[in-house]
Amino acid sequence: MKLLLRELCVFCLGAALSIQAALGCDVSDDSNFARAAALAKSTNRPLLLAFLGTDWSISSLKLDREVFDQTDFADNSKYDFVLCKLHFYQTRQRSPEIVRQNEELATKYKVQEFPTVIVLSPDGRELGRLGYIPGGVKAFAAAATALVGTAGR
Amino acid sequence: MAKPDPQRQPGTRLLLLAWLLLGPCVARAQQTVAQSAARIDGDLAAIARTSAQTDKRQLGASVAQHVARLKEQSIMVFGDRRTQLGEKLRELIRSCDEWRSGAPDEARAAAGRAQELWADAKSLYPREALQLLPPLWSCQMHQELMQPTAGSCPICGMLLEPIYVTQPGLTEGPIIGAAVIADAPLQVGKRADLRIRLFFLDNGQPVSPADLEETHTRKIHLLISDITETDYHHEHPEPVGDGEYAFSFTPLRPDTYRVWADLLPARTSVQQYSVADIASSTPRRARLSKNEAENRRAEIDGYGFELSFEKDVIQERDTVAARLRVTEPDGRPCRKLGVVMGAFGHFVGVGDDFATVLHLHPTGPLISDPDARSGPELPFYFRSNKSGLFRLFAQVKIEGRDFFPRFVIHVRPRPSADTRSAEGRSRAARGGRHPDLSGSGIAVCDGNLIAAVLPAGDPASCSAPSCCAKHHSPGRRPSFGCWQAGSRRAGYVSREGRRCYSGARHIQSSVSSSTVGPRARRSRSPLERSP
Repeated sequence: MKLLLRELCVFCLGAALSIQAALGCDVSDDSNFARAAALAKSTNRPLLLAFLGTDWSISSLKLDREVFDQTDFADNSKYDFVLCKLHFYQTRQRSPEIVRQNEELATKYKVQEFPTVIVLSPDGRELGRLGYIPGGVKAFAAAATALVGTAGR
Repeated sequence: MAKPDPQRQPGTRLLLLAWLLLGPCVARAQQTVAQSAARIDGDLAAIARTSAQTDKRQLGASVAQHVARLKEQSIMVFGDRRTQLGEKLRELIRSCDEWRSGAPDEARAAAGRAQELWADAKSLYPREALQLLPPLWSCQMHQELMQPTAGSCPICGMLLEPIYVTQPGLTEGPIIGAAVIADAPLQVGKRADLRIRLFFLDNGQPVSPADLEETHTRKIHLLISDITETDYHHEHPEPVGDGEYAFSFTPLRPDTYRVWADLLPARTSVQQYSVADIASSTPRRARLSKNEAENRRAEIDGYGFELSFEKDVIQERDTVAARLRVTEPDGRPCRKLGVVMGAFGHFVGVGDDFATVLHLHPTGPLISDPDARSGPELPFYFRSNKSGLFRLFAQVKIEGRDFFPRFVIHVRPRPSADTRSAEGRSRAARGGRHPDLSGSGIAVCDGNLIAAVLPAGDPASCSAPSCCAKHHSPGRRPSFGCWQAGSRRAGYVSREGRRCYSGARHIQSSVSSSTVGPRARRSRSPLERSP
């Protein structure tokens, strides 16, 4: 009986915690944009579109290395976003399809500066936009989360 | 004189084709928007101070050339702004033409107009696009760090490596090649006197000591291992002239040995490994074990060596704080660790591909006092960009004697985007939330029930941290297997994977001690059932 009770407790605790568990941030790049957008929609998570001047904008480089490349951002279940990095390279040849796609997105969202991170609701509504924020993963994720929270995800 | 027929000159045609294909790539790699803009700035400044000696034609052509290149490279200007940019640049070229061909008064006015147009064109660019990106260096352990010069990481002391996009002139591959010269094949237990020849790969010239920078008190570190990654040596060769360096070691195994020369070329200041093999007199008998068990403890002559990591599961591209703890034969903490090459220890990891090598050092600055002592713990950072088994050799000095304890570390692959995407779909379809299931040691049951089981004797193998972290403290063996459940049914499995509770009948069938581990991933996945 005692054993049964213990198991029941473990079961209930587990069931409760399982609802809390999350994946962390899904990070992909511009070659997977369509998939990232579909994933955000199907999993009801905010989509972050990051426009990065990867080889010419130092702020983009900082944002990428200080936040997006950090395992804490990708693995921490607190950061429940889908991130798609859109690279604007000067010194690297990209496929024309990717270049066109990135330009169309940048035009659609009226991107003026790099980096610009457009925070979108799962259904594609713009909730706000962010740039480089000093302070690493925590500072950036807090700003993104605040945007999502304010917009009443 | 007959006109050469291009159809009869395939060589010429090939060259022309190569130029057409590669020309834009070379130009693209060599010139950025900021560089083109700086050149246009210079040309327009020269136009503004025109004198009788100015070669107007050459200057005008230079502006036209740089504007054309700028236009091609301006990937950061799009939409309406690109249209505006195109117009401004066209007018700029027209003004330059007017300046070149017009009378002095008209030329002056055209030069002024060109300056204004150029200022307008520049205002259409994002703020940072016209600033030259400075050369930056970073630490492989601390990616967020960006330093303006080469050197050591202020956090962990590792050598900085270039951020290549800021220094396109530097190559990621080695620039120095190596070959080992042996008078006779290696023999087990017999000291081998060898030479290693270092040469520049681009021109074959020998590498002299002046071509190398010192790292950890030496210019060349030779990391030597047999193919089973069991017998490891760390040697420092001495120059004998003409790019050759002499060293010796005594092989303990009858296998081929591989030498990784850890070098820091003065030309690039980028750490590199040059690899060369040494043949053995005996046929290769051993093979590298791909399935060696993880091992974080070692003992040599009573001294205990224990590795610990801040995370239970080490994934590729994950910087993990680690410690080596050394104990005396009587079990007391060992505080007698001496200085080896400017540090209280060195760590060399050899990957299971027998190619990847990691050279790590304890955190902190270089130790200059040869009599300094430390212990019992050596903190360091571990990171591998490649998954797989790593044989990690520590090198510590205790009372003048070198010890090389050997450990086996499992670096797990990062969950792929596909896995995450599929998991996300599955989660949404069920309305529940599940941990990431990729990585070995995870057993997957049917669509409504997922169980992650830790293989016996390997408490660190569950790669579902968001789940496991809630059920056991990092570094402690959990009392039972890690588990996860769907929205309606739940269960958990014993560590041995033999028991199941809460009516989770599917676990029993798919999880057994024999399926725990890599084979368990072959179990039917709930993701396969997802729409």
